[in-house]
Amino acid sequence: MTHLNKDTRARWHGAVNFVLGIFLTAAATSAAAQVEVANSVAKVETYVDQQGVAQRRLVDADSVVPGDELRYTISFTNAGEGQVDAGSIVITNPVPDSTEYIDGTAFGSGTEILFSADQGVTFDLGENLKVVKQGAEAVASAREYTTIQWQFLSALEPGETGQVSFNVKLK
Amino acid sequence: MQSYFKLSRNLSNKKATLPALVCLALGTLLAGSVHAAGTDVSTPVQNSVTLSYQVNSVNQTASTSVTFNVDRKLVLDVTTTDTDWVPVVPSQDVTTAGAALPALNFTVTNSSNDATNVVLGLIDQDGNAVTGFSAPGSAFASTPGAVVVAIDDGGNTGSPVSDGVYTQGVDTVLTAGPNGVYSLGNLPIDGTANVLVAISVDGAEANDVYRSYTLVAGVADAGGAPFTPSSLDDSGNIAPGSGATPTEVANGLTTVETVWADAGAPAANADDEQFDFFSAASGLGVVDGAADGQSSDASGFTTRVALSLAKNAVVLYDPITGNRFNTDRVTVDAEPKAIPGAVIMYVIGVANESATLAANAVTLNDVLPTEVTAGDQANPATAIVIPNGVTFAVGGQTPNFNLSSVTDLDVVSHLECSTPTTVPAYTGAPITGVGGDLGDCAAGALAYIVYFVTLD
Repeated sequence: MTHLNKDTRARWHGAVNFVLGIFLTAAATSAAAQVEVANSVAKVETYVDQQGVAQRRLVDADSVVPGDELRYTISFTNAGEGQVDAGSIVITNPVPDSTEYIDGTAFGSGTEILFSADQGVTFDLGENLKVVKQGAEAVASAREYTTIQWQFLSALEPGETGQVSFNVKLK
Repeated sequence: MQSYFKLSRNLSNKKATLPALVCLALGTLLAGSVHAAGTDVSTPVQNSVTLSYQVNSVNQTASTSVTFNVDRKLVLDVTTTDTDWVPVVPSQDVTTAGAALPALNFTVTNSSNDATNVVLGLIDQDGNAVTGFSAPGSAFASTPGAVVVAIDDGGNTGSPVSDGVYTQGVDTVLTAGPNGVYSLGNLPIDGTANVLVAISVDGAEANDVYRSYTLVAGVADAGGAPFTPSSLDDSGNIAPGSGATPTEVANGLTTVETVWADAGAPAANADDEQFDFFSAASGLGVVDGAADGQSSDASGFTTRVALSLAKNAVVLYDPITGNRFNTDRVTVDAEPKAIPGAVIMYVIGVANESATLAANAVTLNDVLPTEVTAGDQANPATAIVIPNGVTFAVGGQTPNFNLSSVTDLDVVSHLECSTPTTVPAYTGAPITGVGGDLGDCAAGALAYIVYFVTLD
């Protein structure tokens, strides 16, 4: 893949994703490899351990009320027989309605993480995202992110898995 | 049903029927909106992810989603708007028709993400201190004969709808059910209710004694009034005194469970207690805890003497008509008018309304209207006749103030509470105001000051 500057890359992601959404379903049926994706949610619970120290742990998200912190984890596996091209895996996840992204929680080993504040039209690093507030352009806050995108930089060999995650707060 | 509750954001200071509020809550629920309490109950939250990739430069995609439904978060908040002890008068009676009495003021707010039925409990704290109030003295000697818990719907025809005063026959009195449980009503999301607590006070209570109360609000099960207090939620929390077995309901992402999320009172707020809605009409002597489905706050009363004041004016003379009273100082002879040059007599009466308490060191000051001059400085040719007495209502009394010894229109005369037989005269009339030290006024005592002005 040709290296692009960040602005160009952001536009590229938006445009390509739109095109992929229309054309790639049919193409997938003839490919040799197949990536399976799973999406799970857990609640981040704070508790005090026996030493009296506040700790955090993941529990089932069966009981979720406003103010709770949630972690979404997206796992993917190459269930096919062929290698997935290096740098081709792009995971796009809109921040769910009624939630807001918690700054610094997006994670993905071996990925580059970009954000969008305009419903996925453009992506960039968080510090470069701009929004208009009271008529003036300003850096978007994390709670204004609308979409998160991970680009997996390596090839994915058959049987190999990857995982990304992010946390939100239920409004 | 009357408009007991208001939505703080949307319907503040506006009347609306409860069904209208319920419909509004339902409408916003369907829209999945976010209130101050957070995302509405049952709102589905879906996370959808798309993964695109290439194999041998051939594009492919995969996608999946996960959805959970927002659970029912119940949080009630009780706060008092009183900032210190509320003064009450010994012998006041909440059953007196039309009585308008000072009351403890509480606000109950539904900070949940769903509407909920609400029950109330009232804890008699005797003379205990109230957090944030001045330190109390002695407690009431006797238990108040009657205690009223009411919804402050004002009822008084004007605004505000809530006036903070308990008015017998106007505000909606709640009736305590078994175990001292009052059914407040169904509060919509972000809805509030203003609750009053008023008491009857024994006439023998001393001055400056104290009685405090804690109002506790608890969540109740669905259904019509009288409400059944909820005994437990779906996350292993139980209500104080319920004796319920903590049960964590097995649930799923898309089922809706109830979660009590109240923060509880700070440990230092000993007056914010838990209430036992299940077995006794009492507090538990324990500070309100977190996630117990309850919230509480305290306020209290202190006894104070009540003085009533009334002002009476009589036109004694005008330059055209002459004197109002005949020289016998009793018979009305004419009707002088309040025209320039007229001489007017003001009598300000003071009554101690308390049946038992004295008011000490009572002073009275009155600012003169700018259109008059104190004393009969117009110096009319005809002598001004002062009546022997004047009768008018002061508080609950209608005394005849004896003015037989008042003779000098150039001074301010007064009748002290403690020396009722003589009328000492002030020397000279102040220009801008009159006043006097009326001494110590015993229970039921009357006092007055008299002064005369000439209309400029």
